[in-house]
Amino acid sequence: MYITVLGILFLFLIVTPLLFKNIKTTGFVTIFGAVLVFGIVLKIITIVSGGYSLSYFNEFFYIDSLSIVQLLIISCINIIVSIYSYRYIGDEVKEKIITLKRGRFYYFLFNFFVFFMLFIALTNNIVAMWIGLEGTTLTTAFLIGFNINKNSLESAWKYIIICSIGIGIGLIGILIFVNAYSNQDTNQILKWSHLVNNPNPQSTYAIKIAFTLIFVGLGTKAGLAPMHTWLPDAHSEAPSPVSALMSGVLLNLALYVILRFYIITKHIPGLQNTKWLFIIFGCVSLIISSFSILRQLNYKRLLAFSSVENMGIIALGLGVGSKIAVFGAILHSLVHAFGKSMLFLTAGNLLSAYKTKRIDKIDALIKTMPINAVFLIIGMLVITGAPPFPAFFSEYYIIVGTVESGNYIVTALYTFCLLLVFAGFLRVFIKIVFNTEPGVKYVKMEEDKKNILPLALCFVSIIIMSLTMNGDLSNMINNAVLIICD
Amino acid sequence: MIEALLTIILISSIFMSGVRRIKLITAGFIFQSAAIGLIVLKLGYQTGKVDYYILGILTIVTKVIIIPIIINRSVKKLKIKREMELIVNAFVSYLITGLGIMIAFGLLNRSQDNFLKTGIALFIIGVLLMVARKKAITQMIGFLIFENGIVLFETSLSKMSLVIEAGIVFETLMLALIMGIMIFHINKTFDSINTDFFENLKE
Repeated sequence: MYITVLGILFLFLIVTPLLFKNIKTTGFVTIFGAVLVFGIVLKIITIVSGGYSLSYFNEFFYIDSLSIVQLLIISCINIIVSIYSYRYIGDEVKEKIITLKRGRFYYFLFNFFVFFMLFIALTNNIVAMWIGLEGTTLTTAFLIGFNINKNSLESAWKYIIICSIGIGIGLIGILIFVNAYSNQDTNQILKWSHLVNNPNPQSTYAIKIAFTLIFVGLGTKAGLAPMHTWLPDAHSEAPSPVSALMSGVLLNLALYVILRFYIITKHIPGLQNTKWLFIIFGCVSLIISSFSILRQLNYKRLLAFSSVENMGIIALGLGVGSKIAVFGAILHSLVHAFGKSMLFLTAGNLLSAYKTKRIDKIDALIKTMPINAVFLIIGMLVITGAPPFPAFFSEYYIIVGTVESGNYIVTALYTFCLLLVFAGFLRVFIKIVFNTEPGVKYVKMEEDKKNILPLALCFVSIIIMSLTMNGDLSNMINNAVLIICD
Repeated sequence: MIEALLTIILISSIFMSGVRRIKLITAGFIFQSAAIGLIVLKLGYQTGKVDYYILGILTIVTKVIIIPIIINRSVKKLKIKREMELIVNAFVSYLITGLGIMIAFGLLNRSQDNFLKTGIALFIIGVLLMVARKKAITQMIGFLIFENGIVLFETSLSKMSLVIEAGIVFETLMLALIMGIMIFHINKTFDSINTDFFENLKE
């Protein structure tokens, strides 16, 4: 029933921008829809939270504790970003940067994008998960190239070419994967819930090849290095709300689809080595991104590389595979979603005030835009894992996991990269926020108060997370961990 | 008959890998997609399954009729005729294609499944066109060849439900459309569809 309601709601949301000429109505309807989706997701969470699972429409949709974590991330960030978009698109239309038609087009694509993401998190059919991921590629391609200019078109073209090859390789992997199960009932082999309970494929060798292809192919969308090359361009050129949604939610979801396949392969005897894929790709992402962060001149690119780094952390935690490390990984994906959205939205405010993405052009933010400066510093502390925030605990749990499993080289690499990232972030943000040139008089900007409600919402969510970390939240994550580790 | 059609697919892809004129590449693509559509229809005739018929008709309608029309229109509007400089020249491209086909058929010589081998050969050729050509349109055709390989792969490997297959084909069409529209925008802003001009985004 909930699925039907969600479907009708999204049909309505997608049609709205086509029907209404007024951009404010569309924006308002989108916010309202996002709140409704959040309500439905909360209802689903209360049902599933005891570790149960739900299935609808002949098991085409299947909700368990792992998918509700993703549902929670999608619905929360959706509310925050749609509130941000209301002002953002409204102002751009008012200042004649974009036409009204493009503003409506934005909302059309935006709602479609969210729809596909919810579809991935809800579905049980492994090919339908792929279809959802491909759908997100289709919708975000135009969102990245939204400000039709040289840079954005270049990044959008790069995104389309690289991601469509990657996702094509993923489909080949999925087809081989399904084929390895052709000894079983044809109506059941596409269902994740069936495959996970029947781990007896025809050939383990085929599964090994298939999983590697799936990992590399869908890892392209998840932004794991060395397949990350589209990510810094796309995230820095897209409009800020879209970067927030892509970096906070979409990367997580691609990793979630890989994780679903990993859970199936884990149950097959003789395939324990697949966890090294996660560990090695995680470490490579950490190294590449942490060194790239040190030499960035553009603050949106810096944040994009930080996404690669965080995906590396999550992949590493999942690969280590002990309960505490997986707990850390899932907690980190939650914190990263909120913290990174907050940083990208703040960066959007800076961009609309200063009209530049270069780090060396922005000084003394604490005097010109004090509110945004505070949020920028808080966001930085959240993302780099400073103690009062949940990211500290998640990163710490992963360290504990790596030490327990005895991979000391991995531990050393991981902590070293975390230090590098912390140093790189501090260098840039202290420069942006506190650096004052002698002889220049800094005036408080009017843009400072413009779009801060979504930032405050992000911050409040992070506070709520830290407070409930020993209660409801950890129960929810523990149930998800049980699905992965068993 | 299926062997003959598979031969057409392979020959057309070898042809496309070295030709410079975009019209000729499009013609090769039409032949290839028609052959694939006919193969799928033939399989449907042999097995009597509705899925194959629908997949075949969808392939023919989208890839033989709609997408070539889009490509030809944009070629006319953009006034481009050929690839000027290739990143990998024609001779080497032919060599790579030949090697790709040899690898695909050599590695899997124990398997009786010719679809699988042809599919893998098409993946290699498609990726070659996407990587080694400068015009955005050729890159798009490379992607479509890749997708043709996926259709062959799909028919040989698995039996999915109709909705899923239709979903995959439909999204391919959408992606091709989006690429087409983006090529227009690229042409407008850069005054060219050479991807050489993509050099603004560096660290």
